[in-house]
Amino acid sequence: MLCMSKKTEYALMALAHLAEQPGRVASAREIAEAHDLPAPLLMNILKNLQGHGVLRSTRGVKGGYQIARELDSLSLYGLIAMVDCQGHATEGDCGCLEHAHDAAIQLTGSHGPVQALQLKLVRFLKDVRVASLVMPGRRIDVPVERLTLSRINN
Amino acid sequence: MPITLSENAAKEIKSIIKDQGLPEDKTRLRVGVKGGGCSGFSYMLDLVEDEPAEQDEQLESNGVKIVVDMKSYLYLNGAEIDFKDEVMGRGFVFKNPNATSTCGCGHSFQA
Repeated sequence: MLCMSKKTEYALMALAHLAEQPGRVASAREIAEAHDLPAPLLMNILKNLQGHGVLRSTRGVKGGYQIARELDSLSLYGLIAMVDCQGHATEGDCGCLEHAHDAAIQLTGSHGPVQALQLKLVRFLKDVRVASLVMPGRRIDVPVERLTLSRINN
Repeated sequence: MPITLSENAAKEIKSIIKDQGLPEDKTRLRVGVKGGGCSGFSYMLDLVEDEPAEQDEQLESNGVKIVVDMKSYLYLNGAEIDFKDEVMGRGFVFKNPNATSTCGCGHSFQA
């Protein structure tokens, strides 16, 4: 089954925490404690997002991370590439979506339908804005399938 | 303040009721919160035909009958439920003035 990595999920949770109030500053420890996330992994993810200009950090007692760019201009595809491709020695060996896209383009001999599906998935992830996943009042809280499925299961 | 449904949300609920062949006069939208999720509570929506319990709050918004249990009502008072159909999916969006913190998965909140 297709699913997001834990790193992407934690990145989204951290961004949602920071997006809750405009200009909110929160430390990695505070976010980890609020959402019961593993602090060392979260610190790594936040540092990485800072490196990509998504977050900025401030030092000091009241320091921490805050959102540094418009999340409307960041796609889910871009976020996955930032958090999942980190630390791989060579591109293409991690199996992540960013590199899967490159691989799909390059493998002209690969099975056509699979390549088409891969490119469609990439296009979808590029169309999803991170803002629509993390901003309160903009994201979907109850997918319509959950409402219809609950009736089928009852 | 009551719980309200936007016009879009009401239209979608009516369409689901019709698609599933539910009796329009008896079917109510049960709105609630339940414990769970990474921020403490998650939102619930369900279509029910049962008579509301004595303690349930009964409301109506844009032609849709709504029932809420008393406990959930404390957390949902003043909330607006909207419907969105976007590239990432179709579903209901809660604008809840009681939520002080929400989580990235979008399924839970704190109040």
